[in-house]
Amino acid sequence: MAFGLGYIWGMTSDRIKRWWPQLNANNFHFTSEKTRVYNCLAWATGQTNIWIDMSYFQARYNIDSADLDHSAKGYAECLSKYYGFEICSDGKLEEGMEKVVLYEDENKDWTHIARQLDNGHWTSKMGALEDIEHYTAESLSGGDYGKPVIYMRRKKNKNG
Amino acid sequence: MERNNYNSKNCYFGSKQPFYSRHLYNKYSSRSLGSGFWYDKFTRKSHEDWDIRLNYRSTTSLLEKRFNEYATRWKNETIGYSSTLHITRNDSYLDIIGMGESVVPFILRDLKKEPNHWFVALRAITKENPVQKEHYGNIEEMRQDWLVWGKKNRLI
Repeated sequence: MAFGLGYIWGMTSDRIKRWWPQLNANNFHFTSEKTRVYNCLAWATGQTNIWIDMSYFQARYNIDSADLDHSAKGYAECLSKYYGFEICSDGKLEEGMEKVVLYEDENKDWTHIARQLDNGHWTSKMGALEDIEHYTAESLSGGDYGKPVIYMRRKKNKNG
Repeated sequence: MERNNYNSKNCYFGSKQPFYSRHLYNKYSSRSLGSGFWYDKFTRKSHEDWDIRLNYRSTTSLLEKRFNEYATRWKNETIGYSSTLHITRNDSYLDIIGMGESVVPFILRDLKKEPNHWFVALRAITKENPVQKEHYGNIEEMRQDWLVWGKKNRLI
């Protein structure tokens, strides 16, 4: 990925230290420029023109405010219902399967989702910042994203 | 033998320019400030720049200044989040909502400049929701809906 001349990085070293203290030059690399058009959940489900979170599910699928569950479990239910994912035990590479991992912070709120690539690495859109490829799911843990808690999978080429 | 300096470069009478011309040149030329043209441009030493800055100070209200501070802090603290819950539960964001209707023009101006998650604050303050249902999730379309609303209400 060639970054434009004069491009100003969103994921600065200060931000990386605070948000993802385990990330370093040896376990990730950038794959796109920063954008606010889409977020990690859109990226994980193969969309790049939309920002998907619980408020999106609420508006799109008429979920009552009282029924909203902002935990990773709540998001897993939505992914299962609307995108055809099922919960699995781990993030090991499986032939013909597309895997995602959901992150939860210490308040039990969902923070992030990463998608597994064919090489076993993971791809993440970092909020409104850049897309990255990180080599393990755990390398985003330890900071504001919390830790990976739920792994899910679906058959490849099945759109939500 | 005493040296005759009358025709040398340093001699007052030998200079091609009259004295007052050289004096004015030294006084008003950017060279007299030390490093030439760029010195003026980058350190904003010229009179015109100072006038602009003073006018800006007097026209920027305290409210707008406070809004800008909160907005900058909010953007910086939530830029890595994907969940609207995290983005809108930030202290600075709540402070902006607490500032009430007077900040709506500032929010719309910021939204016009760049797309961002101002929709919850706008909805909370104005008690209105101009976003069409099919636009949910599309930040650019949601932004346009609010900007149209702002223009209609003469807030931008």
